[in-house]
Amino acid sequence: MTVRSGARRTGLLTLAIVALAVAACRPPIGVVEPSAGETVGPTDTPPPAAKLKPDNQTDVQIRLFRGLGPADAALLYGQALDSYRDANLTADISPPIFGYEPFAVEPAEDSVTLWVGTVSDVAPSVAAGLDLVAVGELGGRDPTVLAGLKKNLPKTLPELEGKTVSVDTAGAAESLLAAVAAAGGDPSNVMIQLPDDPSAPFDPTPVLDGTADVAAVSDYDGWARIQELVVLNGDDLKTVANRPIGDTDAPLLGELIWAQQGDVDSPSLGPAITALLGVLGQTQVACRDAVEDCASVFSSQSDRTPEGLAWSIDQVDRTIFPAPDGILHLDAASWDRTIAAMKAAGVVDVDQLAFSNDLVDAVVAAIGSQLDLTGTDWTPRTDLPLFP
Amino acid sequence: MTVTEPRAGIVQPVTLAPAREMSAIEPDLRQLAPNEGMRIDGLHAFYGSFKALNDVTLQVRPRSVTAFIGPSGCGKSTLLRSLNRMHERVPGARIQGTVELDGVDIYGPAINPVRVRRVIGMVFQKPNPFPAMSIYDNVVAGLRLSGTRNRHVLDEAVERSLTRAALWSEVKDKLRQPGTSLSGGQQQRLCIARTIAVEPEVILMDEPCSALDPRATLRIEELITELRAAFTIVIVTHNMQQAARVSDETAFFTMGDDRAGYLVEMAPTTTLFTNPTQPLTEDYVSGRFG
Repeated sequence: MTVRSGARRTGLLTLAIVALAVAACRPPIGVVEPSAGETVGPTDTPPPAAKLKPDNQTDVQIRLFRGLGPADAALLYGQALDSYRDANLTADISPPIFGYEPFAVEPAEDSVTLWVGTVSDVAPSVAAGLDLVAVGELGGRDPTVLAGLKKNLPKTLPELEGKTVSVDTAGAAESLLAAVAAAGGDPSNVMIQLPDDPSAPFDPTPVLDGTADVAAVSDYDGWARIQELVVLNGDDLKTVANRPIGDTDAPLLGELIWAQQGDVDSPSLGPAITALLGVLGQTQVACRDAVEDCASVFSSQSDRTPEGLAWSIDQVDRTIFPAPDGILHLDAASWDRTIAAMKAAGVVDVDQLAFSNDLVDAVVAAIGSQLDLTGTDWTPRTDLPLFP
Repeated sequence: MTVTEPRAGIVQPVTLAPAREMSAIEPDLRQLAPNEGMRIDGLHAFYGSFKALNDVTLQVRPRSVTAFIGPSGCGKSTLLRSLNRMHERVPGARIQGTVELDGVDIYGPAINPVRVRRVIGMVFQKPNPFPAMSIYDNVVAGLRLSGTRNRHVLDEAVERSLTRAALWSEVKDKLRQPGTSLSGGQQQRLCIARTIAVEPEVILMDEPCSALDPRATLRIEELITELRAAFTIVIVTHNMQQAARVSDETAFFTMGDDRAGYLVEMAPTTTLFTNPTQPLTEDYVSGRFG
């Protein structure tokens, strides 16, 4: 899916007006100029503040590994609020397209490519010859849960051996298999059902009609879709349930933002990546603080309802906040856990991937205290049920 | 959906550099290559230790419609996914045998599977236009990812593809509207337009009408008939009447005692439905089983 700012200007401008009217008290979204002398973060020596608006207009290609979901709401919110334009960026958001290699990049001096995906999503980039580095978090923790008919949920993960598990994405499969391995099971004996069309929304039907035993899906989208289909069929929600697949006290990482190391180091493209992170940090905060508005914008791009999406976005926020080192900041311990878990699950090349918080820290320093980037005082919304 | 059993190496390495062997089926070189269609020879397909397909040999004629029919579980969708190397996306899945397009083994060691999937496109059961994209942008999504930025080139591709997909006259005045604003049948034709925009040689269709109403189904069937002049089409369908209506040749599959699917009979469609040589085929097309 390519959302082109220029092509959608009229519609998005309308959305932006509505959004701004609804959320009049929301902190301003756009380009935050760095404040001299601001100190942000836990370190004694603050990182240098970034300039969040490059001098030259830059195209940013954002490649996804699945269709747009609630975790991407902030990406779209930035479109609706013209935040990319204000930051001198043009953002193209592309879901996976059948037959197109996500790591095929057209080199250009005025264009930079970023990827939004899990560690296992981007591991094949190594074989494709790319040197990717994670430059920030989009989702705070891996949201994958085991879900389905309550009677089919196994008590232990090794019981999944010989069972068929429907997954919404390949990344969910790897998370599940890592959890099976960690629980002492043999992941090679778990049968996985992958969607043929990588950009299609998760279809819960196989889980509910018994074609698949259970599903490994995100708690904020796949699990929501399972419940929504149950209600649509007039069945009792008590028939379905979910359970975390990993250690909730030591979670793995969810979706990250990736860039080529060469682009990060480039004098012309590096500032655009920083600016993009600046937009994302601000729009994630905006989406958190105006969930209904953000969901309303996103609903025009989704087959789900604004009410359901508001619930989902709040669930996404629960994976992110509080973020003591600032939004988008990658947790080193979680990174190490994730790499180790993916290796155990059989994902190759993951140990050649890298992460850096340099750009995010500079963004956090630039925004400073103008926005609540840590969400320390944020509390999950309890007034946003999936079924109002 | 694809199913696998064992998972070993999860990542399938890909080769980005164009492979010399692949040049024979590159879209831009197709004019120079003989259009021989596809040849499947001694194909066995596995999910881990489970054999899903047993020793299939058949020819898909160029610029024609070939239908795969048979009861559920007979491996026809697995065969379809073997024709553009989607089968191997499932870790642990593999094939034995050969699949050739225009005389080139698409499973050859130097062949890039991603490029195979561009030359051998696919239309899925449920239409899935990208919701954030306009009709125009949906059609050119693949071209843009290939690096095509020239507006004139993109405009031409949009009109050509939508015309071929029999949708141009219905949407030419609203190309900036979201693809999801269209009806289900129109959305499927939009997805077909997106598939043919990159000029594949072969289009695989996995029950493309199963999510559509009868009227929209009829329109897609008419479109398939029109497209065969330019493309080689392989369609999997549970609907025998549909196979009879749209296809030139039909292959009937069923399942053996070991649960592996196999080819019972392939013939010109009229022949297969009116004068099959195998009793199993006759039982199936007459509705006695399946």
